[in-house]
Amino acid sequence: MTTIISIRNASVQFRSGPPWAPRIVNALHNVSIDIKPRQIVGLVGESGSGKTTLGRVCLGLQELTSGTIEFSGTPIAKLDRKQLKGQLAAVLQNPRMSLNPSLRVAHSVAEPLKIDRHLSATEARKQVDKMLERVGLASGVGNRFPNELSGGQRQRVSIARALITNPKFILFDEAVSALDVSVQAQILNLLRELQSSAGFAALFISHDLAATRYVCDRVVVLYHGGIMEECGRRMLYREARHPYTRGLQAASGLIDAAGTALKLDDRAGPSSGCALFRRCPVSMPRCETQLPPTRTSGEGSVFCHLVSDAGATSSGDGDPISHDARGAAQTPFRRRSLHMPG
Amino acid sequence: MILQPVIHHWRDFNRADRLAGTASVTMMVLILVALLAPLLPLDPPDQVAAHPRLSEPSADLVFGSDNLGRNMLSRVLQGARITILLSAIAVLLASVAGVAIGLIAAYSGKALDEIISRFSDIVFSFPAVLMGLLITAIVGPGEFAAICAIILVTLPPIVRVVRAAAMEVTGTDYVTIAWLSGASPARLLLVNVLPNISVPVVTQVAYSISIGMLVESALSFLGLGPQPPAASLGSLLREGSVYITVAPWLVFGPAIFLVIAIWSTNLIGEGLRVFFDPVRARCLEE
Amino acid sequence: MRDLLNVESLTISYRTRDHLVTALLEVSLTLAQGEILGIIGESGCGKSTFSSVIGKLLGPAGVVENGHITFGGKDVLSFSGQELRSYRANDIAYVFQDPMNTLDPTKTIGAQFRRLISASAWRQKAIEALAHVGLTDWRRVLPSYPHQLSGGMAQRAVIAMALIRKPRLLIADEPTAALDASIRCSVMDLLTAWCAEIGSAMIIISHDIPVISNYCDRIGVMYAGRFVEIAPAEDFIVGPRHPYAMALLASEPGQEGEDAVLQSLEGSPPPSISRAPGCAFADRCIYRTAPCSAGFPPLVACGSSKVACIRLGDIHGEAAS
Repeated sequence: MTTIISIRNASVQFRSGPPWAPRIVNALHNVSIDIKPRQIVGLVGESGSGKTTLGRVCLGLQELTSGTIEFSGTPIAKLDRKQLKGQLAAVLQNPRMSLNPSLRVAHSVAEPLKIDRHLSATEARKQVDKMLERVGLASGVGNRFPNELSGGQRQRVSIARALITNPKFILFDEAVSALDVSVQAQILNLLRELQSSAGFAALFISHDLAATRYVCDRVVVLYHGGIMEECGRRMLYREARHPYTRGLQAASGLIDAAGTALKLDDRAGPSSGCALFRRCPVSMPRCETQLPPTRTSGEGSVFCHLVSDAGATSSGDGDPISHDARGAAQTPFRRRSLHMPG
Repeated sequence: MILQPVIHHWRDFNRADRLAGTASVTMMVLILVALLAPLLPLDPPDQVAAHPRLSEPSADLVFGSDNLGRNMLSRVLQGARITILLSAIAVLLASVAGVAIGLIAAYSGKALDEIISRFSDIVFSFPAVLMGLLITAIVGPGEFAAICAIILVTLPPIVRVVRAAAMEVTGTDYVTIAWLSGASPARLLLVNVLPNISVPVVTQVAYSISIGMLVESALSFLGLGPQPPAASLGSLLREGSVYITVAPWLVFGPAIFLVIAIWSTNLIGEGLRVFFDPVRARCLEE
Repeated sequence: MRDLLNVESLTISYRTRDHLVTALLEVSLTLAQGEILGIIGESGCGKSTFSSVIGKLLGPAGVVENGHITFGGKDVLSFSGQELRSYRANDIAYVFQDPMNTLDPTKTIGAQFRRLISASAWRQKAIEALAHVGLTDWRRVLPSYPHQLSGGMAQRAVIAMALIRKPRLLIADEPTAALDASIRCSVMDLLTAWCAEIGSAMIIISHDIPVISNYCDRIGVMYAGRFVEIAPAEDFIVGPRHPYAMALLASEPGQEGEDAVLQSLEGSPPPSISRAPGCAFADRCIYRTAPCSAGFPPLVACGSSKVACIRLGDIHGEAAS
């Protein structure tokens, strides 16, 4: 099976500051991701983790400092926009800014069609109406302007516009973050349903682990520009292996916070070694100086000394640092005992 | 019947800013009166000795008569017609050019943008009157010089406003997505950028018209605008200033007209800004 | 425990060009001293109106049509002048969503503390307050401008400023929404621990159900300008009673099983709050029957909770007592 998007050892650096004292920021560091056809890959990370940069890389909007990115087996740098049009689409974060405020909704959705297929107005309108119905919007919505729609409706329109050329790959960058919980669930369910019928591949970027695991087949966890863990969605319904992933799970109320919550530390990570060192609840002296090795197993890859050590001694798939994590299903949003800090 | 939607929009506009609503009606009346002056039952503006020389304002002679016995009201209306027309033509040309240049600067980025921005800064740094003198030195005084001067004075701010607004819109998600779906630069600019920068551009154009009238009057006052017997408000002011001690009404007529016209245009510009303000739109939405 | 805050049948509207838009409808609530109340609900349900009216911060368009607010025995809505200023300065404090909007971008954190505390010992007090929120590196924080801090540090500085005068009530409107998930719990830990220490009560408004359920004593669910359920947190997270609360919790990802489908709540809250009789949630409710549109369902006690639904007995198979 070919891959739709294949990113190998990608790094992106931003330079800032004056030329005599340049400051170099590593937005992405040695990231490799494969997205296969009909697969939704989740990308979870906090602000500053480089997840938006990685999304822009996938769309060819951001050049790599080093590494390669291929679209259907061809380096994306060699493809021009004419060859790619209609194959890539995006649904972006802010529902207010993602639709042209001066175009009627039907016109916005039809725009990619007109550019790509040169269809007649009536033919395009017919396809647009079909697509709007498919994303659950009433036919009258097509004649309205974006500012007359609710946030959820706007996000449905964005999805309709992304799907209309039947693209191979869609980027969802924080596509549900700005919505109310109830609307978010509607959109997440719509996404699952459309993915199984339209069969696109997608990268779903979010800071919300719980929403991501719900729609994705695989999830990549990013911290400070580097991958911490990559695993199948099932792993996130149990207890993940990397301390950072587990910290995020705890923060979303998915697992018990005791012993897994990340520390609050405002200092920057060590210059060599693991970026998580200061915030990790189970860090060791070695983490400060040595970069963790990659440990790959059937469950995915983990970049952590602790996991790698335990894997070496217990020969394989033992899950060394995971605590007993069942019972999660009965009491959602467990209450934690309040404790004094320090 | 055709006026129905116009009146409807005016009502909304008036509700947002009553001063601007009043100003827009005032300006409309001034323009109509100035344009329709030849049809009104008035003395022709160039009819010498129609009245006693330098007669005071009265019921028949609202603005009095000048040193050649011409009806000042006819002269003011004719002068206003020239002032308004010249600045309207010049600002129209300046806006078309300004929108095109500003969009190109915003879209092309780096080098070309830098050249356009610095050049418009340089042009902007010349005082309006100095610019007018420079142009009359090249093309000679007259309507053409006035138009050129107004264009050069109003163009740089328009370019700046268009460029800034276009850059902001170019960074939005919907432009990124249109670019991604393969839209050509022309399509990006005309469909996705231009309609969404219309608010600041329209406001700036309204301000430009008042600047245009001011520049035209200043040049005419210095005798560099339309040449006699044609007169604009500025040249009427200059002629009247000679007799200011004996017949101050010669100055009052054109001055009042000019002040009201410029003030109204500024109020309309301010009203447009308030009317289209997104914060206000949000208040109405909620 | 004595009541700190007592809100009685409060109705609030906003004046628009030609009519009044209802934002809160006959809301009643009591808050005990030191209690932590969480409020959830979709956007436009009146949560923010409720939080701002407590500090008399409604703005010129807000109209109190009916009702009372008493704070420590005094009538808040009648406050004005010096009385209002001292109430806002000493009795209550607010923490809003975005710290960068709350802090003055042109002044250092130290200067902003200094404005709050007039005493000569402001520096010592500020350092203590910052230590309370885990900002021990005061040598760096005090001379910093807000943009030089990370979002998490800035929000903690805001919390320190809010609590430094030991208010009796802290109102936190989405205090963690702008923060990264992994520090949310830490920030909430610090906030609740400090409030417990000084005995301050707290109202937390949030979309984040995990945050609400972790830190609150009681949870109130708002819909269309009213509370539809008020319940102790322990009971609420195990099983909310009102159909709206049930649907809201079911649509939050995080509790569903591996292969389950999220129960999404279709539709959206009514764009304007109607005063017509009947349950406002009826047209989105899966348990709706004809009597639902007949009259306002009152908040009735149901075990330890109070729920506004006439069909409780049928839904949960028990009599509402």
